[in-house]
Amino acid sequence: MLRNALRSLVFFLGCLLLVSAAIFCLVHLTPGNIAEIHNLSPQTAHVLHLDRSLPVQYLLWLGNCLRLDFGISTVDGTPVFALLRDYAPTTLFLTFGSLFFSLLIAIPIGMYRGLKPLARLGKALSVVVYTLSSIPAFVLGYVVLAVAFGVFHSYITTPPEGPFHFWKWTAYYLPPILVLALGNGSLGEFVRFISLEAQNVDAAMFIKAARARGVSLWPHFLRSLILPVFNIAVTNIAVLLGGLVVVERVFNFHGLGWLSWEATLKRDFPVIMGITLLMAVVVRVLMLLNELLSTWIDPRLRQ
Amino acid sequence: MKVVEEKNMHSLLDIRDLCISFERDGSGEKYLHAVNRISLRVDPGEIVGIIGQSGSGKTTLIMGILGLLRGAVPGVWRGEAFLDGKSLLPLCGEYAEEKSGGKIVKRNTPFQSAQEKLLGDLRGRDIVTIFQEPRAALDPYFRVGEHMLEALRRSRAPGGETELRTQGIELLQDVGLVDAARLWDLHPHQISGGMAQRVMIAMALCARPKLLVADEPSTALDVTTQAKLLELFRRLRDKHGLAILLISHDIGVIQEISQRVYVMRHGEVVESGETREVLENFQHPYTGSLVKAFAHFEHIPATSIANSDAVSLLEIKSLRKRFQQGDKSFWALDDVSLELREGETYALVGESGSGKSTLALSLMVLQTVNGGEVLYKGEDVLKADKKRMRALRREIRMLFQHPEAVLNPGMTVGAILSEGLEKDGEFTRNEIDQRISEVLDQVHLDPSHALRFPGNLSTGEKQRVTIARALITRPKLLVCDEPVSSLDLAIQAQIMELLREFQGRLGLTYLFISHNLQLVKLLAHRIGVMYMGRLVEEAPAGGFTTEGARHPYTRLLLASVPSMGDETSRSICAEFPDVEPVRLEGGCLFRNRCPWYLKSRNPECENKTPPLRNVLGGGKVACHLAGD
Amino acid sequence: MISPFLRILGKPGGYRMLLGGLLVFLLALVTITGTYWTRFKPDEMDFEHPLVPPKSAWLTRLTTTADGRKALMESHQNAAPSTSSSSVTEEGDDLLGALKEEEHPPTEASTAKVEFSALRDHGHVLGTDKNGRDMIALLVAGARSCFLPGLVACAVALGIGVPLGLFAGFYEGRWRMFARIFNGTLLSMPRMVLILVVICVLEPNVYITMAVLGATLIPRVSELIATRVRILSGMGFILAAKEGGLGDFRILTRHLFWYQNRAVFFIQFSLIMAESILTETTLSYLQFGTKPPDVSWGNIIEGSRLTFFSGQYWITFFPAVAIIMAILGFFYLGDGLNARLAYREGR
Repeated sequence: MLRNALRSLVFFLGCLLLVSAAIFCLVHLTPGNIAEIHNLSPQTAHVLHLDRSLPVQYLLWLGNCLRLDFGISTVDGTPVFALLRDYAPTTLFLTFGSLFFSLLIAIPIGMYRGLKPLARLGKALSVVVYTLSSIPAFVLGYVVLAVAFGVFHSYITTPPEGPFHFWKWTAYYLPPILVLALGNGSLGEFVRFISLEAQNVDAAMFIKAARARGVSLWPHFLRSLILPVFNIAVTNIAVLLGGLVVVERVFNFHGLGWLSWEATLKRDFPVIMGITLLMAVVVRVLMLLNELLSTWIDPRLRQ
Repeated sequence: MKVVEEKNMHSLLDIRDLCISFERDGSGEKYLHAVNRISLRVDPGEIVGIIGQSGSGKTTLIMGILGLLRGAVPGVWRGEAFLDGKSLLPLCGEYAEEKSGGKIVKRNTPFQSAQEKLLGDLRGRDIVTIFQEPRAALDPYFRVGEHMLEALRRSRAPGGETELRTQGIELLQDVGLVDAARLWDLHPHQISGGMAQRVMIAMALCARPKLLVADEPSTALDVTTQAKLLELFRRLRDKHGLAILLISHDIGVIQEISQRVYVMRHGEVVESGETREVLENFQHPYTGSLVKAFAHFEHIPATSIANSDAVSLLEIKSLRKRFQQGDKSFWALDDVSLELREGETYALVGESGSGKSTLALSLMVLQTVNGGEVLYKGEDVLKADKKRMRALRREIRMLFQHPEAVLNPGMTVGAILSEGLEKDGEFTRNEIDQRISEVLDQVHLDPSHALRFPGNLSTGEKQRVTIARALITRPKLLVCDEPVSSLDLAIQAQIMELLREFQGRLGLTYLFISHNLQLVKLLAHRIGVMYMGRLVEEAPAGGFTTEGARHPYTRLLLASVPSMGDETSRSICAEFPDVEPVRLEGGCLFRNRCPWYLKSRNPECENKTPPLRNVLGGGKVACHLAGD
Repeated sequence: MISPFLRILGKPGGYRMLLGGLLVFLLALVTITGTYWTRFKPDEMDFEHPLVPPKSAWLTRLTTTADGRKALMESHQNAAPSTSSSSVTEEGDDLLGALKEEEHPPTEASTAKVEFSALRDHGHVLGTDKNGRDMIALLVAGARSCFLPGLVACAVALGIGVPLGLFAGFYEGRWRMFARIFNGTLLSMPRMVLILVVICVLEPNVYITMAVLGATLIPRVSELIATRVRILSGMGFILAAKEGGLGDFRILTRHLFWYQNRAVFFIQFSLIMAESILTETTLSYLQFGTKPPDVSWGNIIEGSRLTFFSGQYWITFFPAVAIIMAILGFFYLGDGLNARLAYREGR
């Protein structure tokens, strides 16, 4: 078990190192020097270490990143870390909110579809789900907006201020969360995966044996399905984070997705590098947790 | 009708005229009669066998009355089934209608929820089932103890967890699991198949059931484990008065243990009665083919018994292979040396995990080894370069266990066969086509088979194609890795005959790997016995009997082969302790199961690996305690 | 003629395959024929009729809100100063009503309605955008940016993913390790963000972004193939092929790829096409894809942001429908083929 955990940890660090190197190379090896693009003076370039050799620059940058210093925005000179700190909460809220909603929808549908593969209702539901998840998030966003305007004649475009107020918060946060949960491909992925997994467990010999013993099947089902569900949820975090770029743009939410969009428009390298690195760390940490949890829960992996 | 009912009053399980049919391709027109007009009865305290080949409907029958048939295809049912006087089938809704109307009633879900509930009450209490793959039948996430607790709670056993635990451990010990307390906290993947099957039986016994249905309980187990399991069945019947319905394709198992037998074929019972009576004076030709599948082999002696002065064709010298399994590693092949002479059949036997297949794959250079030599006509195959290897691969061919897995389902038979010749571009298309029809003819298939896909062939035909695939390069040596064990008995006989024919005609040499000792005795000239990666005994086929065997393991293997109530075999089996095979370190690997060592506690057995030495009668043995 | 289609319907995934195939066929047809047959051309700006709603009344009703119709009417009133303003505000409350009523012969009493009825003669069946470009012409022109970029993504994803999957599944050990690290690294970065990084660094270019999209799909393709190959390798015929003396290259290309995985290849091709349309339109919407003089469904929607918020949906609505149809076409085609493959392989 310890060995597996150690292996996961090494893989985790290796991946992150590669990600950082890849981003760094991408930014620094492309034609058009950063200094030239932003017309930086030689002094500024020197302060930013842009006159050193690439490996040295990389190590300096990595070292700074480890100290949470991601550099400063080339547009207005704000520290990138401050930007990330300000924009991340909205994004986190949207991501986990939509993950929660899509699992809430996907688990019952997936289980039903897997355990009763012939039921008409299940078939119809899965067609709806697959169709929904192949619609681009921004189109779905417009549909939700159109409904908001058409039916409620308004949509709040600024975050609710002051103390927590349930309806105000719901009205503001629910539409993007729903769009992210329903569209964006992850719901379909969840339903497909969970139904397949449920089908496999249902066909397993030990379920047949449990049926022959006349015992309740739910404990067996649940224990076998916990890991796969957690697994697919974690692997889809990256997809959700990617979808945020679009959803935040449609709903004009100021989160990391919106920030990355703006940074791209203004060619603000430090900001986009910081965002990518942060997202990679989040994704990898969750993946690591997933692996550790698997080795802890699954007796076959434990030894 | 009344009379019949009274006569069967005391039957425990009574099935009358049961039909289970499935709709084919959902058209509602054609029916596949999986079970056709079957009447069957099991009395209390009786062991009844159902024998039949795969697809004969025996499992459908039993899963059907238990309400465990699940699947997409709607079924049609008629007939009656009673357990201890309680009707099983009227539990399903429209059944009564069918009886009065006399017509087939179509039901989309054979056991709807209400009926499911009623039947669910019987399952696991009055009638319990154990299955073919015992380890897969245990939930990998649940410990053995949790399984036991679940079963005990299901049987409404009184008491708290500690009391239930004591009860559970007692039950586990009752079925022969001595260190049940240690077992209690293990997960299913940590125990062996034999142990898992015993756990299944212990769970079944929790509710003090009346009937135990065993669906091929020993098929996935080794022959020695099987013998112990059958012994356990016998004991359970005597001790608890448990009735057992045993389903098997193995006539030996049925013969060994059951009092009465039903012979099934194509969903029908073709013959039934007292086991001894049925098998000795069979009326139906099908029963005959089961009993006497290999009968004509016994009369024809193996072809051209290889002389001891025949040229050596293949020589394996101290071959070693180490396997890594998680954190542990072990020798899958430990210093194995053997020699094949031209034109002979050398058989390798042993339980699963003994290294037979590893040996085959190693000498075919399909996996790497950790040392040793494989000399083919004096040339080391393991050191051959790529070009030479190609030439060698034509002379040494291999047959695999599952023909359907070997044949690529996307290729025609012709494409599969020609692949062996195409690769070097030596032959023209015409020559290849000619050779294909030639080999197809040799394996008694029509040349038109070349255009067909493997999916459209029967299992027997598929295995013929794999033989043709080997023969097409005109090999000298054929390594057969369990070539018939996945086939039905009658087809096994045909394939064996074919193999023997080729040995006579083409002078082939066989290395024949099998776990089926009876089969091996019929075909082989010499037999090698492997245990835990070592060759422990080598004997000419004539000396391969319980009396002639030198190594205790060989004696155990031979005595474990199911035979009709043979007392000597049973007493030999009883000599051996009922322990699981474990991989020991150093010394003789068999010592934990060896009655001689357990009696004498010879220190040599613990410290020194027994060498393979010659004994009288032309054999070799690797045992410190065996006589010459 | 029809019977082969009907036979498909009976098979698993048949409806999806047929529907998807039909949509893809239509899309291909529109792409090939281009704007030859359309009455207006996409670069043609009809300054007389900017922002006119679709011709059909119910389509107009569907794609506008009451506020939108009001605003629309006001803007047209400004554009046509000859109309007396008072009568318009009184009677032309609802543009839809006007459009409906103008089926009756115009009377002097409703001058404004006559003015609006002139809008019907513009010939723009699905209306125009704010520059007076015809919606149909725009939609047809936008179809062009579906296929070619998609092919780039497919080439990268399948061209690298399939061999990587074959190697990683066939040779355990180093190749598997390499694939694991490679895929792990790629999967750590959200797809959209990675594409944004590349766009930020290089000049926005549809083909480069599509290549990046293809790269982010490599993990999916290669893991799918590797899993299948690993299962197949354990099945025996790969062992048998080795035993028969076949070289690794031949086993990989012939047995593992051609006979066992070509169906997966086509399924993935279809699904990646759907994915690439999704990404292309999304990027165009984010202003990083096709730039405005050129037309893409995504940038039509982006350009319609203002009109959308003032309640005039049709400029957003029609491209959205087109996008959904195109994506669903490829998606259903791939999904139907997948269901068929699963059925054939007995899953």
